[in-house]
Amino acid sequence: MAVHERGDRELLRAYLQGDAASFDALVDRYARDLYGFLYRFVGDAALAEDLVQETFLQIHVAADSFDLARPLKPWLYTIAANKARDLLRSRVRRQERSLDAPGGGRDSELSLADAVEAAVDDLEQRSDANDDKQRVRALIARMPEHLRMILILGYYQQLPYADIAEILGIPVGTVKSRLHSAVTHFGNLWRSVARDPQSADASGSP
Amino acid sequence: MSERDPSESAPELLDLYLGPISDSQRAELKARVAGDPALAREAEALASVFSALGMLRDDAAPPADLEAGIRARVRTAPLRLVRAADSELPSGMVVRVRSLRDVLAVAAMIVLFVGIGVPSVLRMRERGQRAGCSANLAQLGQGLAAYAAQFNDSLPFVGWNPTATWQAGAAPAARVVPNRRHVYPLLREGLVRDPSRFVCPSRWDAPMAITDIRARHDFAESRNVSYGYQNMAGVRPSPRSDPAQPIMSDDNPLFDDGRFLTLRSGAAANSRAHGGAGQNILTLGGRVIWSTTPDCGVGGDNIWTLSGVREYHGTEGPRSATDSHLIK
Repeated sequence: MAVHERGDRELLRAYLQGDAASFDALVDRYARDLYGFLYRFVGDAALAEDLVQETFLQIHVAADSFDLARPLKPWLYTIAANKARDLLRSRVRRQERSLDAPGGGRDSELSLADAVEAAVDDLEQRSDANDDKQRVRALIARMPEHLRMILILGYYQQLPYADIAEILGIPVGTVKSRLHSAVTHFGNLWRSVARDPQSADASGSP
Repeated sequence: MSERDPSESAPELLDLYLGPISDSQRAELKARVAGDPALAREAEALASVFSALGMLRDDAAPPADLEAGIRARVRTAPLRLVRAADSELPSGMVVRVRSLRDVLAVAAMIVLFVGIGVPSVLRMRERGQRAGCSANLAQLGQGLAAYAAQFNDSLPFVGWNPTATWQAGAAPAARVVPNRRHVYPLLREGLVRDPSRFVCPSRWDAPMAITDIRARHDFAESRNVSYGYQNMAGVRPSPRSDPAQPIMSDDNPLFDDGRFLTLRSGAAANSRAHGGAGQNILTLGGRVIWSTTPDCGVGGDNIWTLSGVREYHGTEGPRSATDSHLIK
């Protein structure tokens, strides 16, 4: 049987027994999916690429701890989601620490946060107000983390409810209700943008 | 765009976009929407939301070398875990496979470290401590010489009352004058400026605080001194006595802070300062020697005991100037 025809568990089992080609096949099978998920969640191509690498590195290191009776895909997404959350939280912590510190330069009263805000205002003025894609991206970035996560998993990644439940460690019923909340939340944001296009915050990266 | 919440009244509509739904269910849902104007408005609002979301459907194109990057990163990872085939090992048993050569190399390194490295490090440490101790005694020897030059060619001596005792707890009514008190003037008069010179590096003793020195006439605690000094409660040597006579040394193992411990088996014992291997000894001539036996006084005299004395009450002193008895 060709490598690409074998199931995830077979590939992982073969890899655990020393077959490096099986790991490559898993990479070919899931790397692009995971990249799409991570890119949408963190909003940065370089970070997303790094996180995909770290996810597979984790699989490589911890493959022996995986229960081969369970499906692999949710496990991959769980690892990726955890790494993405950790990264975003560490960035928020860094920003909390650094944003209110004086930015240096001549005017020591100006904090780094002020400088960033001024730069974003400038960027907004220059950006194309009709760029709906940019607005949608900004609105998704402004959503609460748990709603953004489930919207990406459910809509963009098209994962079954059961898989999402396993990835997030919540019941399927909660997956459905949270997905509804996420769509509602985005709908409200989208409607408010439709009423006032200037209200979209293009700076709202996660 | 509708102002109504798209998910409030028709959550099942979401399944059109998100959930698994069969063709027949889809057809049924569309028929319901067509026949229900309220539901139709909901569907329209929802379609608008998903139309917006759909703009980013193709928004996450990965780099062309994504997979190559992952493989490169994983290949450079240091750890390789392999689980043996399920048939070979009990379920869940994990083997971290390295090459046999790696395992043997690590084992050899551990054996070498434990067998050679640890004793060697300990030996080096002990050698360093012994050298530090020797330097201390040499410095104290200079202090003694300076004292003799300054105070009428005599060794440090703060006086002795025959009713006193140098042995703590020997007689409740007796005044205790620890023998270490005699060398305190070296510190108080500034002849030895650094109080850590009185502390052997191999002991858990602590130097006296410099700020307390002038205010006192004795060391604050026993642990401020690690060295024994010639018992001054009897016939005292002078700086011109036999230059080979021990005058200070590492702590006496038979007397703990003046208390007599044992004589029968201990007379041949070395100081506890250097693991029982021996002791540094300062002679009247100012030399510091390392002796592996306490029988290194004048004529082979034992430096821990007084000649002819088998019971100690803290009042005993040397009966001759060459009888060494080094105590704290």
